[in-house]
Amino acid sequence: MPIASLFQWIRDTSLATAVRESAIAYPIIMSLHLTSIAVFGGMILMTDLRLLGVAMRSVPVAEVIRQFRWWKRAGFVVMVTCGALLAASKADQYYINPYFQIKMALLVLVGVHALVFRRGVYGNPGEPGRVAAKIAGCLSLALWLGIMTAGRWIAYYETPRETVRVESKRIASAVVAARVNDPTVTWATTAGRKAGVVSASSNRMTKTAMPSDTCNSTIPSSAPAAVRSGWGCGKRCSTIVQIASSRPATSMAPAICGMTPIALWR
Amino acid sequence: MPAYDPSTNPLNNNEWAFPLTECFHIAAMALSVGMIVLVDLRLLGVGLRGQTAAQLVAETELWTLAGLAVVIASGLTIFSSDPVAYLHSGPFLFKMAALLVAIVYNYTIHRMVACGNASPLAGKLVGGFSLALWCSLVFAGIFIAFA
Repeated sequence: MPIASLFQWIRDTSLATAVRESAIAYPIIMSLHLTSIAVFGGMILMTDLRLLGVAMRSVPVAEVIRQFRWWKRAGFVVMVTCGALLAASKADQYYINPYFQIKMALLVLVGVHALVFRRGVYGNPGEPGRVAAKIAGCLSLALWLGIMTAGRWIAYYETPRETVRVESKRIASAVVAARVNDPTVTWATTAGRKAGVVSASSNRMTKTAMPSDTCNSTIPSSAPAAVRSGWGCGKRCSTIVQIASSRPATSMAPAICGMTPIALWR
Repeated sequence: MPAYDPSTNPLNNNEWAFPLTECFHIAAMALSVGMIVLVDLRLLGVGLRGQTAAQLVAETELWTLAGLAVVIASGLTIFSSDPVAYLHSGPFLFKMAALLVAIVYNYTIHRMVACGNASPLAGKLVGGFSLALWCSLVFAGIFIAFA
């Protein structure tokens, strides 16, 4: 499939690889993405609220739009650049992620809405019509909130490759997401070693675990109660565990704190 | 035997609850931090020069307050999903300390300078510090998941 190889190629570019593999680049770019949401998203919100007639009413609409115009444009560039880097680093997973697709579609609609209301509202040097202003404000608000929501949901979608259904067995099954370099979490480290994703000598992860990395072992009594009884957090809470009985195994555990599953424990 | 078992928290059992709470947290963050930053940019003298800083404070303060209320409420909800983990997280502890400082600062020094007759230099210093402080909170929030 050519489209798949295109996204694979994007993922494998040196820039995308650097973002993916650096421990510090990914969270920094994500923080910048979020900071631009705070700063420039705030300006979008303020513009929308002004268009709706509920904020900054002492300042004319055209003046509010004019004052924010270049800030919003600059912010959009920063936001999109950071977002594109994050997406490129996982391009092969993102392009099939329906929430990513929704997010991109909504971004296109934001552009369409800007063009449609350009003459009447956004580029209008005078006072825009009240109805047009309210429609534009409502649309912008709905579209941007939708973009943010879809963006957050991208992280919670499971690509089919990672979906594993684990039959409930006499031995409990669990997905273990752990900071395995914490020596106190020996039960998680043991699982990771057995699954072949944790180095026996350094106790550090040697690769990102896939659901195929499994180990057969009973969960030891030293594991926290939450591990044995369901989902929750473990000892010193550097661990997150989900008993995967019938639900997709990797669905929530890694998402909840952004941790990586190290092993499927069965 | 812990008194509180996070595995019973709906946030950890409902597929929608956690991401939805995060969405409220992010939207309210954009509202509260975004409004404060408008005042900061004015104090720095780089934007919104059509209004005085005092006017901007008056125009934004209700929205800032509403945003802060939602961002803190949703933040406490997220915290409840795994309190012990958060209390062991360096970025989280930094974020809480910085949040306390930021809120006190916003309603004391920041407000006094924005609404009073401070010199442009004082405005720049106070606005710049506020901007850096609130941005550091956003960074700390992301780093909780990565540290």
